[in-house]
Amino acid sequence: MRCLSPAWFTVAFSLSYIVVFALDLALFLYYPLRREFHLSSLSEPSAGPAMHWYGLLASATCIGLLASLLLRDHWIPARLTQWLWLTPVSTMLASLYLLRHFFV
Amino acid sequence: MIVATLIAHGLIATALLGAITHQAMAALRLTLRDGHGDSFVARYSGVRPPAFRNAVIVMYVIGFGLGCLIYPDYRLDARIPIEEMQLGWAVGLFELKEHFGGIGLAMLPLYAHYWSPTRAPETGRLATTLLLACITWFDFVAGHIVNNIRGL
Repeated sequence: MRCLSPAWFTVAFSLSYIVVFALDLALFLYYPLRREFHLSSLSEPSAGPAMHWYGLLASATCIGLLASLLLRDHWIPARLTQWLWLTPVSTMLASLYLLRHFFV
Repeated sequence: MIVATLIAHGLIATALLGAITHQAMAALRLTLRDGHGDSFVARYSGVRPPAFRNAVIVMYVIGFGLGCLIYPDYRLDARIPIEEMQLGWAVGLFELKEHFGGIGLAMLPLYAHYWSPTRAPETGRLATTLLLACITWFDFVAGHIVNNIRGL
């Protein structure tokens, strides 16, 4: 069995998280009032609010796992190995930008 | 039950804060090649940073898992009243906390990779540790602020 690449997982998760968050590509939705998971949003008002975050994490995790399985650590250029932490930083900044309507 | 989970979440977060801050300060001191002194800062950071790696990972995962269990109750019992109070910034603060928390979780493999015994101290290791410490501090403070506005 091939080992998973930790560096590629973090990079792929971080970059894909921006996309799945911006485009709302949650793998599933959770309805806390009914305690139910659904693949698409329910139209009935009685279903209560939908939670997207679990599904967003699941989407990005799937992409991260796939990348970490297919890509190898040594494919990362040596001069970039010290700067991989910039990908989560950019995801955090993108999240702040996408949530700016709460603060302005 | 949810209150007990919230308290456990807070206690784990406090322990995690201690561990990651110790490790980050020690890694920073090693990078800056600051000499051993007898000051509080020197003694606080005078620990072996690799020893914290597994504890940080385990506590982060447990704290995150407990947070995931509490989150539906927050969505129904805290967020709706906060929205009714028109405190959009508090909702946004919690949204940031959840997203940063998820990003921090995804950073753990890279963090573990940088702190593996075979690797030498490097910029990436220090930066990843400082970033994880910042996420932990932000999530801790944001969680407290929102819980003070409308607790579970």
